[in-house]
Amino acid sequence: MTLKAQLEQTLAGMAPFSTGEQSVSLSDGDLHLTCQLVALESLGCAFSRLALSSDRLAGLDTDGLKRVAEDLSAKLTYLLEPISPIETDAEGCVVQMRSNPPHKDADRTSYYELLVARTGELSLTRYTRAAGQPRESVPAHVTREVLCRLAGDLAEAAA
Amino acid sequence: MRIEHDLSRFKQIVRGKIRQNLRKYVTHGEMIGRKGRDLVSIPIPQLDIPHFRYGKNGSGGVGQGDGEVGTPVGSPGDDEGGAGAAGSDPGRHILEVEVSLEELAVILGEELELPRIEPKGNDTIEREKARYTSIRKSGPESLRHFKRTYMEALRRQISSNTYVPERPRVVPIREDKRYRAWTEVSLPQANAAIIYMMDVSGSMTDDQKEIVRTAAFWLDAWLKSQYKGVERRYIIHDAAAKEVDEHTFYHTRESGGTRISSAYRVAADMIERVFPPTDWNIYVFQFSDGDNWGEDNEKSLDLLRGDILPHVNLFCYGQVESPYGSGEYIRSLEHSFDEAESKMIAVEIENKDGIYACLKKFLGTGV
Repeated sequence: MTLKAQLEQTLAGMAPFSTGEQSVSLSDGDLHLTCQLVALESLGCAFSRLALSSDRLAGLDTDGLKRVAEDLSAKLTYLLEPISPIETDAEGCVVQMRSNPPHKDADRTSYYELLVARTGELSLTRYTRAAGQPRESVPAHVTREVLCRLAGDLAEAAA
Repeated sequence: MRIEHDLSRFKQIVRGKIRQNLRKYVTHGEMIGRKGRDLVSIPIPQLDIPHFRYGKNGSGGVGQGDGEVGTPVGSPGDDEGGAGAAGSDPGRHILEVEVSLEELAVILGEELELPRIEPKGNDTIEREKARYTSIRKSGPESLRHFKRTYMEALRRQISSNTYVPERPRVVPIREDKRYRAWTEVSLPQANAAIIYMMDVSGSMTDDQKEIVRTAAFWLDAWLKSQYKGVERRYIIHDAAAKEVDEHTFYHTRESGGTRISSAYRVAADMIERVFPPTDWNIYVFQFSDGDNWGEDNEKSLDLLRGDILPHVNLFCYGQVESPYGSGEYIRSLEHSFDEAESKMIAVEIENKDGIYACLKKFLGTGV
């Protein structure tokens, strides 16, 4: 069963919660998905981090990682902001993708950060920064459907 | 004498206007580079250019045309009024005034209340300079000394009896030619080296680079006015750093990650090789969005502490806010160094309006 299908099934079997954190870990071959859920309701959920690791990613060079990042940039068009590659660290073999442009309120900037690393991991986190303050990670709110679609797209990009 | 007085008064007015709007000129970089290296052209919209004023030519005059004895001559303004046609003249132009960089630096210094810099250490470095003070028999044609050449030719013609005073023709031959030659003289100079470092990683946008360019222009102007010789060097970096020329410095965009330590390594090496700290007054200005890759912070701070700060007059770090506002490097600097005790100054530049305060803080130490 694909990771997307497994996640749909897992979420359907979980009781709604709004406090604490529950971790969901799923595997499909060499693909491993971890989702740190901080809230789950009948329609939507919130996660602090969504990560997918793959042996295939671990073998890629910087150009290969860039291609994965471009592929993800084209696919992930349904989040709050579009995501695109911002920096590529050849030394650490990591491509940093972020919301482009980030979302700006009067005194706050929020954005997604998706790292594509040669350690074999794709990880998505949402950050926010108030004026004059350091950035902090915040839960990303999505519908159940979007979360499952995200899992599917990450798996497809890493496969 | 009168016109000189007027000119000096006009210059005073221009200076006053520039001073009045200095903050605007500092934050808007549009006049930078418009007149080359030594002059800048500043648009001043609200200034009356001196001009002749014509008086009403009175009530007198000579009448012409038909008229009876006793008919009064018309005076100006007697015409009937009425709606006029639309004007065809162009609107009022903005006056652009040329100001020398030196003068601009003086205004900047006065307005920001900047102290004069006290050069450190050996401020009398001997520098070789070529002076054309002697004459040789060989050399490039571009350096031919015409007067000496013709004198030699005349001397030769007189001594060989070929000169005819009634028909004075002097024709130089090859042996008559004389050329200017130079000798090298040593000139004492107070020298300063400015090292600019800029992050050109993917997260630095064109707007941020424009802020850096504008700030660097004013820093240059001030430091040039304080030292006789200023050497400028430019380093750009993303995950790797390199020395580049000025144009490349302002127009490069890379997509690499940010590793500030790479730039520090190049700067430290440059200081060691090219600018011995005992002879040079070294100023380092670094600009970045501060979005350094996490594990690089410690490495950068070590290099700064060990290889850069001990050798420089001043190290200034300007953190230009990126669209993500995620730069944390300035906090690491503030946490690691005490500004009062070290030669390090760190400033956050939110936008173009922040340049003014940044310059004041960077240059206000007088070091």
